[in-house]
Amino acid sequence: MRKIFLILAALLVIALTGCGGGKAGEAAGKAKAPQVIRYNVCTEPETLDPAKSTGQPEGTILTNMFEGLVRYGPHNEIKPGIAREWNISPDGLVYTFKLREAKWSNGDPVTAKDFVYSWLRALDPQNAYEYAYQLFYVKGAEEYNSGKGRPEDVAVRAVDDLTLEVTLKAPAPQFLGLTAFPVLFPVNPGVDRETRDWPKVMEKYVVNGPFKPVKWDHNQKIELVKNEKYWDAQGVKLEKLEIYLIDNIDTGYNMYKAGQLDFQEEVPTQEMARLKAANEVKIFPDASVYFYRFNVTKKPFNDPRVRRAFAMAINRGEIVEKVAQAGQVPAYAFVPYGIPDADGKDFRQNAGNQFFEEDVAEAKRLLAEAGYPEGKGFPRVSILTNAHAGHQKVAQAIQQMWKQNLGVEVGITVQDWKVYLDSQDNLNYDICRSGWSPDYLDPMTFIDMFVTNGGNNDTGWSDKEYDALVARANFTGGQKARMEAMHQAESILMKEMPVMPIYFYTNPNLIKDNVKGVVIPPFAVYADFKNAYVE
Amino acid sequence: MARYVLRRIVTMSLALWLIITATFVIMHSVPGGPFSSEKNAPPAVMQNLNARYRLNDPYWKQYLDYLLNMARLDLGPSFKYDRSVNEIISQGFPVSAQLGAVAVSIALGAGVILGVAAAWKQNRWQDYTAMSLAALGFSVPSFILSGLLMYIFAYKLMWLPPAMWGGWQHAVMPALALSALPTAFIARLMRSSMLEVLQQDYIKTARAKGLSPAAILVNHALKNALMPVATYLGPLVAAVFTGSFVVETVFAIPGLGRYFVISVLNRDYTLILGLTVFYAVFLMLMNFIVDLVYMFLDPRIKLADDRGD
Amino acid sequence: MTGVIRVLELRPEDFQALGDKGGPAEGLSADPLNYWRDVWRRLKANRAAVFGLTVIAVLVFFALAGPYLSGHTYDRQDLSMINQPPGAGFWFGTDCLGRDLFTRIWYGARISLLIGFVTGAVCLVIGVLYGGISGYAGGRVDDLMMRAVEVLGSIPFLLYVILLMVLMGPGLKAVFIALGAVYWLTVARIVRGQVLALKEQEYILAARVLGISPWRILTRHLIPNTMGPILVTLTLIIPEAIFTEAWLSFLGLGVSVPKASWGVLASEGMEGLRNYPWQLFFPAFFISLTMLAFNFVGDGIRDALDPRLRR
Repeated sequence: MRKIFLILAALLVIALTGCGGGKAGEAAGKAKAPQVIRYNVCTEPETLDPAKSTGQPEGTILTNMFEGLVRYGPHNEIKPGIAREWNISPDGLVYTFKLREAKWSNGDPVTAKDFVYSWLRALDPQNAYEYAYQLFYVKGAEEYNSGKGRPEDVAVRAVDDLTLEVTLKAPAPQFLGLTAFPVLFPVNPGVDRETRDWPKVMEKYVVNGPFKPVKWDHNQKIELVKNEKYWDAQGVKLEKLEIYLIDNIDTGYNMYKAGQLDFQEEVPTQEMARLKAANEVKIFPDASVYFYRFNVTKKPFNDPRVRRAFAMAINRGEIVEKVAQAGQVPAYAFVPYGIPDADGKDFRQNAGNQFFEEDVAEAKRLLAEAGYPEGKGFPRVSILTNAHAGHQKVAQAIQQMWKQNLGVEVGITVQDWKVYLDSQDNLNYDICRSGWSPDYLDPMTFIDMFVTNGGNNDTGWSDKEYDALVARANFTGGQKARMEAMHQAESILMKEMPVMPIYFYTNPNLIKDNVKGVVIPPFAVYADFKNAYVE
Repeated sequence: MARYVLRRIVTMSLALWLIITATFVIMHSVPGGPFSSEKNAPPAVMQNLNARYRLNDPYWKQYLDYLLNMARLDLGPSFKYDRSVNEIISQGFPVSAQLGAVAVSIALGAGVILGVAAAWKQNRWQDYTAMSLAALGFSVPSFILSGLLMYIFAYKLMWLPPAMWGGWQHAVMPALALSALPTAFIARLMRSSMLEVLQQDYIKTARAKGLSPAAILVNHALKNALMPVATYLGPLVAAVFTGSFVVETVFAIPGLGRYFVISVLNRDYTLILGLTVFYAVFLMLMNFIVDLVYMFLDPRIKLADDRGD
Repeated sequence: MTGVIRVLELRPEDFQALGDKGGPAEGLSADPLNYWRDVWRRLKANRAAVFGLTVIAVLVFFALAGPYLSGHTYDRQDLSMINQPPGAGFWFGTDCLGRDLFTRIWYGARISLLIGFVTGAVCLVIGVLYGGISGYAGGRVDDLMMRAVEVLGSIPFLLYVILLMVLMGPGLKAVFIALGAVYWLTVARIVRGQVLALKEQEYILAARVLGISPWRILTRHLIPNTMGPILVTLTLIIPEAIFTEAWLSFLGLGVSVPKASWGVLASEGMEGLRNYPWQLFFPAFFISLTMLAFNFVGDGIRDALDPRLRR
């Protein structure tokens, strides 16, 4: 009799949850919410081949499917991944990784040979992967990739199945962290040899990370399910991760509001004020900087006093609060927050965010000194920006601030993205909107941009002392001396001001309150769902 | 007729070759290449990329290679996406075409009915109502219409899913957004040419003979009044079936339309050329069909013969 | 022209060619001065068209004077007054940078109306002539001319807009050329289709038999009879051109900020739809009003030009 009652009760529950939806469903959901997260990464990935990927959306999807030697934890700390432990030689050149016994999703073991295969694959000049240079720290890597060396001479070696030995050409403390990112991920050699197009075909796609892909509907979504073969599968609570590829943020917002998304990577700016007031938007740190480049090769910005005057004559607080609106931090330095210094503390906090001050009177004085009192006789210059609504707004605000504070009329030139890049590379501009996000958590990714003729210098600026400091930092093993050199370099950069920092980015996200345990790193990857769950 | 078709095919091939050549030249004279990015890669890496995608070859060789591959119906790999151009077209086109077919049907059906009604009852309330509706279709740009539809039906009323491609519910708003302008246009075109036709002598004769208005409309007037609409249908079908960037991005439709814009912005050379060729062939075929339809609608039109004088 | 039609209820075989001396036939045409006076009279009698003309006149007036009425300038920001609703200080409210929308709307009207007028005029002249010649010539010439239209229509629009911007620098001039270069194609095809049909009609045949020159037949007899579809096409092209400019601006290929056309204002307004609806309402309202006016005027002109509507 009791059995019958139980069955009846069970049927009743099913009936209620099934038909009633609404409240009954919620009540049942509270007991055990379905472990599915619907996340909008806001773009169609260009590729799902780890070695080929370059962007953050691809990095995000891949990080949830693969695991490198290490993995970043919730507080930006480097945690063991496929490598259980590692050892770095005292000169900082030789890294020995001890791998754990992990498996690919097809059951193959993950071995040191897989890493050797994958890194050589990433470096193969025939494959022509754009981010191959992420591996150039490894001895022999650059030579192989540029066709001057042989693959055998790349200093990555499988000592045995579970020991990987890597020799760098110079000390590079950032190397360890880089092994957490797509270009250095292992791929399954058997699968790769057999079907070269495996990154396109989800049925053949083999992973070694928390989730494996089931379906890729282009411009719609990628469905991932938990990978039971992942070494830390116990830690993975999500059954399913649906990654949406919807590039219109407004549309994504509507879907979020209609309950079809749990999480969206971007937030519409015109919703920001209301969402912040309602506490519906979550803002995470982002170790990137928004700045303007000056073309120092021609008048008027060949004069550091003019550059300084311009940098001092805008109100960053107002720009951040009224225009950008996502809690960005006004920048009076170049290297963003969130990057560790030699003592383990924050590089930015150690040096302060105060290389210069906003001071209109002083700016006017500098401009007069440079020969343009009250902006008189100032040549017609223009801010170059690409056609992004947000950038155009910031440019207009700054345009007006310069006009009011310095009496200088500055124009705005908007160009399509590729033309803009071309103009920037060829110094075909006066002032140019720019941004920089790090490839790895070390100040070097910001500092080495501005060495003489650096590939990303794009200002025409050159300073011998600066170059010497960067070289010293690059060839010194000791973290302390390295960081010291970079602090000095930054202060030169901020004195000379070939660039004018505006703000440090933040990363605002729309996340439902019941989504927990997502790691949102400050760079390279938007979100890591390894330990995420639904409450 | 056979001679006409043959001549048409020859001129179409010639036109196609001109299109490819012009696009190729413009494409390579616009600043920025497919691999320029905010983070400039080292020269060695760029060298590998250019070698891999044959951008190191002289232009004439790239051009000839492209023509040869195209002759084998291979449009090459996309430079940006990990897919071939053929794959992108074969995945995107069916979706855009389905949506386009719905939109064109709506536009044709509603447009013709509105236009005929307006012309038949010229300067009466039917006329004003139909033409005001048409004016509405003209006056709201598709990005506003799409946004408003989504705001009202998905965000406020929650009757329809806001976006993405799936069941018929997903097609309602994008099809409406796509068809608004053509509907309005066809309605006005129809009204205008119907008025023209209704004043022709043969209609007057038919009226005088005491034929019923319905018979006159269907048997005599409609066929002739459809001419300008038919002209417009060629380019319309070509444009709508290959997708709209605005509608596809707003409603997250995985169609082809978005790629016409994205490919240019990315300087994805093969994709630009591939889509251009695809669109051009489609457009020319549609115009060809329209010209054949002309002859059917009005047997007096002779496209085939060359005049002696 | 109408005289020709009325007279020729006869069959073409009844006539003999006069050779080059087309004199007598010319004399049958109505007095052109009278014709245009008639057109204007009929247009004035059409209430919808008069309403449309009045609206356009008012819009043009405000486009000229509007930016000076509110005491604000179109580019003056006040970051403490962002996203303000319409009120005494700002009649149409403010945008996301605290600028006066009233002034911006009228400043934008200058750009958008100019784009509408210029594109419309360019399309009318080039498209009508090209399509007319193609259709009248027929045969091989028609085939070649129409393939040329297809060639021009198939080259990716965006690509050559980018090229134009690079060559000419950003600004309105490049936008005019870009828009004019594509939209006349539609007009040409429509006109050609009409002419193809009309030239087989009896009165054209008659005119040919009477020895009237092809150019005169085209400009005096064929094109006036295609005015209906041409005007309808123009009323389509003008709004499309205005919206396309907005879209180009958003890709960085239009008028540079802080200048903004109606289309740009409307798409900026779209972002604020949920919270600041007036930012969309005003530009959208004026765009719609303009299109409505153009439509009415277009209809009116069409009806006025149609000689058969003469009472």
